[in-house]
Amino acid sequence: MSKSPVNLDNIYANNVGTFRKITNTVLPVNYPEKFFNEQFDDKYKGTFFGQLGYFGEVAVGGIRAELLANKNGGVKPAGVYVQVLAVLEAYRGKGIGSKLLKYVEEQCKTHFQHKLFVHVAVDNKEGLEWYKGHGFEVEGDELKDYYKDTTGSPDAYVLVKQT
Amino acid sequence: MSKRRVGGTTKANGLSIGRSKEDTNLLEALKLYESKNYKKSLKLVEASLKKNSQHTDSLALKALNLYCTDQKTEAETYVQRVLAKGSAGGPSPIGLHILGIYMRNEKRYSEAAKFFQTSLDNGSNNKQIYRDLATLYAQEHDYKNLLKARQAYWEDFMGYRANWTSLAIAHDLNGQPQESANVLTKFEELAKGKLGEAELYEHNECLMYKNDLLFRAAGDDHDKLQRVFKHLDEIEQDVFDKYAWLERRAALYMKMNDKQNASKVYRTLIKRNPDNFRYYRLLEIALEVQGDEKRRSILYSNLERFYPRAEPPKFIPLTYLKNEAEYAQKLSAYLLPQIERGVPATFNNVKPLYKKDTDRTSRLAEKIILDFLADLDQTKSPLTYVWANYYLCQHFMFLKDYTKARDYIDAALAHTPTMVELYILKGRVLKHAGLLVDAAETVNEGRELDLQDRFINTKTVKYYLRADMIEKAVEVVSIFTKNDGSVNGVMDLHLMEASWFVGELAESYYRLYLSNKQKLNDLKKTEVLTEEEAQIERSNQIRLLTYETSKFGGLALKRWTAIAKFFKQFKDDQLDFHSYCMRKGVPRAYLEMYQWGKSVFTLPMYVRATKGAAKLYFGLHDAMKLSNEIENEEESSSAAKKGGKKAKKDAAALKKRVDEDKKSSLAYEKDEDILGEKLISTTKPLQDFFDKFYANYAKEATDVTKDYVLEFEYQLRCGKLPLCVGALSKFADIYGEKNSTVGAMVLSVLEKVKYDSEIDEMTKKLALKGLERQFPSLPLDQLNVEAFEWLAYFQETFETPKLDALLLLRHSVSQIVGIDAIKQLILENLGSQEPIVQDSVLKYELN
Repeated sequence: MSKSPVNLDNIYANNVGTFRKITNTVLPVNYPEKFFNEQFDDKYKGTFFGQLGYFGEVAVGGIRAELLANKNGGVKPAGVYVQVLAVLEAYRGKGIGSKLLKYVEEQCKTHFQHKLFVHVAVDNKEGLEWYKGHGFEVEGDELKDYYKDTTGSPDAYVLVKQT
Repeated sequence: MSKRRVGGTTKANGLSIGRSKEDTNLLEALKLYESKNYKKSLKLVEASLKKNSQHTDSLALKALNLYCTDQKTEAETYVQRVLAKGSAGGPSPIGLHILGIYMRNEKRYSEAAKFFQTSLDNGSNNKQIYRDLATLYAQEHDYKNLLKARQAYWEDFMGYRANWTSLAIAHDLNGQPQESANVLTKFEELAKGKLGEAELYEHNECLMYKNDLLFRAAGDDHDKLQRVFKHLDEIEQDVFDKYAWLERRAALYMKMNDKQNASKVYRTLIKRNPDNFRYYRLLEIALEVQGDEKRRSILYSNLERFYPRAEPPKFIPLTYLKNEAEYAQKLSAYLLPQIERGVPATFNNVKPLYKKDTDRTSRLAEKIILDFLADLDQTKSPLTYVWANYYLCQHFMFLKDYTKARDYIDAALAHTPTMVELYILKGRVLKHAGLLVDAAETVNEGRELDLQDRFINTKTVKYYLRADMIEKAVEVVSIFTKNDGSVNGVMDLHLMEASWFVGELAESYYRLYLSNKQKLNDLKKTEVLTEEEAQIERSNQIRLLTYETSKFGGLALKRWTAIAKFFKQFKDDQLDFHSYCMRKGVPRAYLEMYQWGKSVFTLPMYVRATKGAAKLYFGLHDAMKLSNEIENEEESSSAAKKGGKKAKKDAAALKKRVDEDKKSSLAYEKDEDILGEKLISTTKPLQDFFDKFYANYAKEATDVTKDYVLEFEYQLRCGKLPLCVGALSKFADIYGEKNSTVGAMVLSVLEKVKYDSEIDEMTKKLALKGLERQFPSLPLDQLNVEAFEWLAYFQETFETPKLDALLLLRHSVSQIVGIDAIKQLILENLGSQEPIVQDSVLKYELN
């Protein structure tokens, strides 16, 4: 009985709708349908890490990160980029986000990556605090007009954590 | 259906010794038939027939072979040829047996039994026929002949336990439990000490069955009951079904008025399964505490201590506690732990209490949950917050306060939008508020969370069908079905006998039928314009709507008929069990199924389909009657016929549409009436209704279960007024003479008596006599007085009319009380109905 109510599980093609629901509920950014389906495309096999976080039996949070391989000196720096990390408001402060983040950090290790990136909207104070509390630091200046389809601020900070 | 062997027929069997060539060939052909070489067998028989076209046995076997190679119509013609021969030169015992098998395949069981019987009577010594005969008599519930057949077979094959069990059951069905028990005893003696491990289960079932028989045979006789008791003790070691054993023991104690010992057994049963409500009730009876609240409460508080995790000791006190404070305390102790644990069914668990005492339970429960919610630390237990809101939503939905219900479910959804239960509940709220499309979209939103969940998938389908979005529904349901050989899952769901789906589909088609028919009528009423283009357009529209109307009506009938077929199939499927259950040695389970099988056509889904089909068939009948009276005004403007190129194009478009409709509604392979056009274009709707639905229902419905309104409406349209009066008085016996439906029925009969010229005077007189007997105060002398206000009489004499009664009036009365007056009453009544009912009545009944 003393088992923690917080658990993680994979995102499957069948329940990606749950992940989409959480993302669209928590984040002001509107993600297109394509975004959610691409992780099941064989073309990208092994480049996306996704998990759903459960409280009890109910999915209340989710994370998705992308492995950025720096092939042929591309523009993007090599590392792992957190695309979405969201936990329903009522379920915050229970260690669900930390557990999800930990999962991605472990993925970094198994893929020999040392850099974890994330974009955070400048008006997302709670988010910024949370990331800083988890070892992220702001890198560089804020990016103007980073988010295109959003109801929040379009500007974003880049945060980085060395793992 | 298994094709049983014409076992043993090949041995010398009723044929004369000097066999003809044909007879030898026949035996050869039979062997081929038995090894399923139907085509070869057929060839051989045909060769015989070439030489001697009058050889009846060969004709019979030809029919059977044709039947087995899917040429059923040809088969029937050969059978008719055999039957035409009569007794002289008719079939031999073998031929009769063959015909029997043919009839059994055709599911004409009583005829099959007749042929088997005649085959035996004419000297067939193929004893296997008795077994087949017995299964047929069992299927037909012909107990007397069943016993004879079982006995005959048993005499020849005593070496099988199954035959002893079968014989015992046959005795039992004939009301001879003692004989039945004796048969079982004899076998037990023979088998003593010879039973192997594998037979122990069968043995245990037979022992317990014997105890059932003894118990029933004993009645209230004390000595006999003692003996049953002794038998029960003897078999204890061998019986595996301990519940049945203990229940019997307790029942015996109760019958012998030893309540103390009975209560001990019931306590043992509760210990074995503390969640069975029945044992608690029986314990109360044994302890004689039923009327005594105080002693009951002591009992249950003790039981609750013994079984803290069991449900009944917590719940049952809620059903009798009178003191409000105590009740509130118990209710709270029952509800809150469930909410905290997140039991989705919490509300449904207490729903009986809501129904029993709506005011008290709802008032107290509302306060309990609201107080609980106010004190709840949301951050600590977020899920509890959701379940409390979930409960409150159901609570207000029960009280028909849909605004509040919606507030609570919205709060829960905003809090945790990833719980599928919440979407289903919200869908329900929206449905009750009459927002069917929104309801369907909401449930679908829940479905998209997890596509693997079949429960929500089917729910979504149902909601789409309720909103008449058939295409969408079929698309969603097809995710889980086998779709090879068809563009969607409709065919598979017919194969799977998914009557929930087929039934909802039928009802949806029916609604679309009604609304298209309405549109068509409206369009026909519009003025014909002078411009040619407008005329073409109009007649095009009419053609399209005519097609749509007939398509939807046809499909509705098609689907309802499919449900009738499912139930017919349930019935037929029993056939194999009359021998299978004996071989398996499960007499008790068999008898349970056998009793169930007697009332298959009164099961809710069949009744629902029957009532649905009734509406459509009755509508067709009424329309036909009306069009007989008014000259059928077939309008076809000249422009519609010309039109040239455009008309051709439109016709092609319509044809394409028909083809697509056929593809998407295909329900059976090789179906010739995919859209049910034949069904809907019937000229005898009442007869069709009777043959396809009502006959089976009327046969099986008992006086208690029968729907007398349906019976009334059917007989009314048949013009059988005395039967209407019969139905009406039965209905009055159950629901009271002042019931408004009774009033509506009375007026309907009077209307027919006064205005229907097709019904003869004798029938009318009989009906009036019947009415007079039932309602001596009925002012029948006013029937010919034009000024008499029947509506006023109806309102004064009977209770405030219920919606059902008014709709009955609307369907069957138009002159004795004016249509507009009835309409007005319905509109007034609708004010107190919930939105969904209002919508459907306005849309489908008042047009």
